[in-house]
Amino acid sequence: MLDGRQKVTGTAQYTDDLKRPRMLHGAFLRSPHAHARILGIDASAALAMEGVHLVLTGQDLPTRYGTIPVAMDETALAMDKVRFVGEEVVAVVARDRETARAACRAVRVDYEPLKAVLSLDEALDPASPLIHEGRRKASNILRRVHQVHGEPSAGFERADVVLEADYDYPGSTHVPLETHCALAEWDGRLTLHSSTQIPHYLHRITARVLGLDPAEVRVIKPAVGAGYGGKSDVFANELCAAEAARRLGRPVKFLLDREEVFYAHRGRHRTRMRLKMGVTHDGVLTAAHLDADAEGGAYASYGVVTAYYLGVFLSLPYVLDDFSFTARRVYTNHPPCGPKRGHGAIQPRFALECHLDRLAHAIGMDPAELRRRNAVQPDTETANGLRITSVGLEECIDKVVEASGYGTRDPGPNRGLGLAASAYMCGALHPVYKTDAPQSAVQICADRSGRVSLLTGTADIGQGSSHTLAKLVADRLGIPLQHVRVLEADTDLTPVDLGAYSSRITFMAGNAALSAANQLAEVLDAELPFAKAVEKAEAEHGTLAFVGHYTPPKIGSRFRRQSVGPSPAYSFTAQVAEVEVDPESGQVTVHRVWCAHDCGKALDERMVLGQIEGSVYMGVGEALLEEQRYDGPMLVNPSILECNIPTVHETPEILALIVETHDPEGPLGAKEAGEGPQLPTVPAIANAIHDAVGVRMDRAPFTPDRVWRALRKR
Amino acid sequence: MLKLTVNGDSHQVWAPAHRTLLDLLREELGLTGSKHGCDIGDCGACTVLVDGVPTLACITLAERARDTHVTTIEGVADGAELHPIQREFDACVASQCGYCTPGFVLNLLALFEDQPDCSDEALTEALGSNICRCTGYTRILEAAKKARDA
Amino acid sequence: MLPLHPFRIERPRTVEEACTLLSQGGRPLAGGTDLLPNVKNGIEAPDLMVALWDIEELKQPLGALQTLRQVGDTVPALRDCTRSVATPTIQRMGTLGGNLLLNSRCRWFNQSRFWREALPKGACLKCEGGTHCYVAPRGSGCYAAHSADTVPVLWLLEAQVELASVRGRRTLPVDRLHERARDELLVRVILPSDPPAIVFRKLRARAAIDYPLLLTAVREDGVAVLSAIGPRPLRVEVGTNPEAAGDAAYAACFPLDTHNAPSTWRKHMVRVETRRAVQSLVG
Repeated sequence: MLDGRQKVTGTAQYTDDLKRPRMLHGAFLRSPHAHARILGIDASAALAMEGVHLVLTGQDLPTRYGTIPVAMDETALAMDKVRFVGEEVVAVVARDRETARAACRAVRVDYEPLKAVLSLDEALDPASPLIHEGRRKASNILRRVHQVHGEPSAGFERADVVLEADYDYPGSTHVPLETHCALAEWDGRLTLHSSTQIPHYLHRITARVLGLDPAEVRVIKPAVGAGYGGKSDVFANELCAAEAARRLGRPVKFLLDREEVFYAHRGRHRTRMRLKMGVTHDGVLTAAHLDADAEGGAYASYGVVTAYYLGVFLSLPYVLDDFSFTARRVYTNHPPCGPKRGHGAIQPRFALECHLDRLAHAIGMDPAELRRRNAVQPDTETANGLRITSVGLEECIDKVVEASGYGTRDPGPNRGLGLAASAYMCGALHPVYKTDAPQSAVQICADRSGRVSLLTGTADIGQGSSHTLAKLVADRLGIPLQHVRVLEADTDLTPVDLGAYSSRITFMAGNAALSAANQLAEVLDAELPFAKAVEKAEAEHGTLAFVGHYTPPKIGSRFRRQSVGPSPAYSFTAQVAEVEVDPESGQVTVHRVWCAHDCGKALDERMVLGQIEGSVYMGVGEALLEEQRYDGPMLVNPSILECNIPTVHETPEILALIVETHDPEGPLGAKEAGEGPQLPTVPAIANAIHDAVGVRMDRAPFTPDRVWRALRKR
Repeated sequence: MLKLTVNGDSHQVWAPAHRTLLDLLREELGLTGSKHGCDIGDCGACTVLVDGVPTLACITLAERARDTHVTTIEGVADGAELHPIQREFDACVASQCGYCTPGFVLNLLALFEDQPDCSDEALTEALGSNICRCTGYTRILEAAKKARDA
Repeated sequence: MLPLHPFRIERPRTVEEACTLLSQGGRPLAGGTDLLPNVKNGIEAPDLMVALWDIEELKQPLGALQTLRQVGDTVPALRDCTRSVATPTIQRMGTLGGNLLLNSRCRWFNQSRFWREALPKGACLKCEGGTHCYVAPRGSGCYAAHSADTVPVLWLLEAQVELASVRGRRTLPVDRLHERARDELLVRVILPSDPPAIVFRKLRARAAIDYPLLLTAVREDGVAVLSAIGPRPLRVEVGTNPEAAGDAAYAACFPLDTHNAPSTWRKHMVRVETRRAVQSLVG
């Protein structure tokens, strides 16, 4: 690996590893109320404490922001009211963390508690108090999306079997092993180091909230200990660190402790769904309608986008010319939800793949065959205008069916095999803010030493994007990987890339990197060894630097409101899970998961396999163990101990298989692998449980008590 | 004053009684390779060796390390030459974000010192002490087995 | 990340020195794997830590300072119930004494100070100054669950514990350990020479890290001790017929809502686990 040595020697520098002379530390006082007005804040006792330098409140950073411009409903610190237990109310900056935390306890905040909105039903009830007052539409519904494509009612008429069922998918959170951390410095300009997935958006928003010209703000992403979507927003610790550094003229670091990360959240929306689908006797899907309600927590985050993702991928990976959906994303007085790996597509995928098994059984067809029969085809367009290029779905299904013996092998008593498949985008077509500028760029510089510098604004958060880009370039130029230096995510030095979200980097930055590498290759004499060729080209052309950039093609504008869903390409995945159920205890053990993933082209096989394995692992966690649960206002499990992420013992043997379909627009044909492989996991396990013991688990996670109760009911 | 040896270097540090070993290593000694994951002993990211015994530094007082030999990730390589465990982690791509890697490496270092021919079951049991959120453990197990067999 | 509060620390070299410090209000510290997380969460805030690390007498076989791993390696009867604790790393840090004296646990209690104080009726009854129990609001005390893996087996082994204080030494049967005075130091565990066969089972959400959802230990004569179902382990004569044993344990146990798994299912599992334990005992 490009940066493997740093990781295995502990020399990789994560944000909390960075130190500066005279550095101060920040801590937060958080709201103990789910919903309350702030009547007054008295920080005098805190300010009087030795070693305390600054106290910030909402008034100090009143500019509203949010990553999605149509839903900027957050401020760095709570203003006027608090909206969930754990919300940041006051920031204290002191000589060390101990002092800052102690000073927080000395701040007095007077609250007037308000009735809290603590469930989906309460959020939908028009009589409930408004969590965000002053919105254009006075309700706790952030966004309602209703789309109709084709004629679903006619489609249902055509069907021989129509089935409807309710599904309930839990909220869960990312739990990156590195907690959020930001280090800000001021020397007339702001430099902000942060554990972030979105250096570019962080740059823009920080500048705007602090009232600075973006040209006076520099954002640098150090090594990041993962994110999975949990670091795709701008957070209080970043803005407060920046503001404090500016006021004090000293470096300021804000590190979140583990519990605070649970309050930062931005995790998966708990989603209640009702899915209705029709199929003919010979296995043709005729129509689908989905109602989905997602509990979003106290702020919008990416929630507007989530509401679209809940429905727009119903047309993948099976042809559905007639479908509709109504999705509502609501506010509740809980930590805000946002994007977690598979953002908004995981929940309906669970419903759809479980539903397909129901339909297959209803018409007496092999579930694999039902999927093959309806598979979307290459070079087509879906009913809702998604342009499909390469498709490897059937090959993926064939591979996992063969490898697992699905449909032919009897795995034994209380054991079962379950199949599921899916598709996922390779980057959202549109950036979160309106611009026609490139969404990714890579600059390559080479000189007569033979080294190549690769400058990119991408965010490697552990998924290996720097390695992948370096390898693309090294392979194209025929030089060793170690001769490529990647300089990443420094907004002063690197060209803009929108960041690590929606699985866009391999496709978009990869194309940019390839373009730059091709430009360099073009001026090099292929007969000469690389360093000599570069020197000759320098002599002919001057100092060598080339920029490759990527802007997605103009597709998907066929109808209004289609900004979410279109992507330059889609990956495809199929999985078979082998489970064993202990019928007495309800305990589910996932023994093996076969996963075949169409990634277009594996630019580095080990990286792709690693993403498949990590995705399946995260899916197993959501299937069996993880659930963001509330007791009224209180998150019951804000700790690594109680949030139940899988250890090595709960993780199945994962047999990852790569399928290559050579996408015409992907770099060397490559597509994504970072999120797609998680989509089939939970439904594959649900379907396997049904195969094993005959119960349909329509609500995840499939904890022993839920399976036991389902078995008792049967 | 606290005297301890870390990665072969002897140190004399002043630390208050309530300082944890993890903070001593990271702050006083600048050895930031050992990580804060949860700070209450549930994830293994802070694993170091104290007199060869794998120890969660976040819930160990610095005082406990007085007059001991502590090994952190910075002391695993032999000069510039990586330890086989480190080489295999790199070769097998057993690190994605890398944050859990130091803890795993130290844990395995102690295991192989104690039981160089441990069974696969013993290996899996030992790995239960550390959480990884990125890799699904597949490549970590692979790297560990290769390092054991090397 | 989570600082401890300032405190003093002493490192006595003998049991007697330690007892003097404990009589002055010192808090005994062994492996710290339970105490220090609780201190970080503001559950306890001792002014004086009495580190037991240098007391050789406590490191004798079955001494309080033996690590759980050492105990499991050397005492076959205690192998299963020490190998089940947390993780192998914690087994090498945590001690026999520490496990015996493990603080009881409850989902309303084992939380940060921030979380506990944010509760609608304030921090719970088990916390200093707390008045309300969220598990049993109309109950008569604290229902936090006894959660020490080694204790049910030690009960069935009819182990004794040797305690020491400034008032001298005494032995107590392990099932009366709750009578220990605050300043009494646990010195060692004494086991009978010919221990009976005992089957031990731990039920937890994952196969590592987690505290028990249920502990089941059954002795070859059909006496069982179940734990993690209430403030103290429960001894039940279940007999040696697996089905009947499961029913007997089920009838006797009433787990409350102290854990993140439903108590109805945990009660159901009492029957299942006891039946399975007796099954493996009788072969």
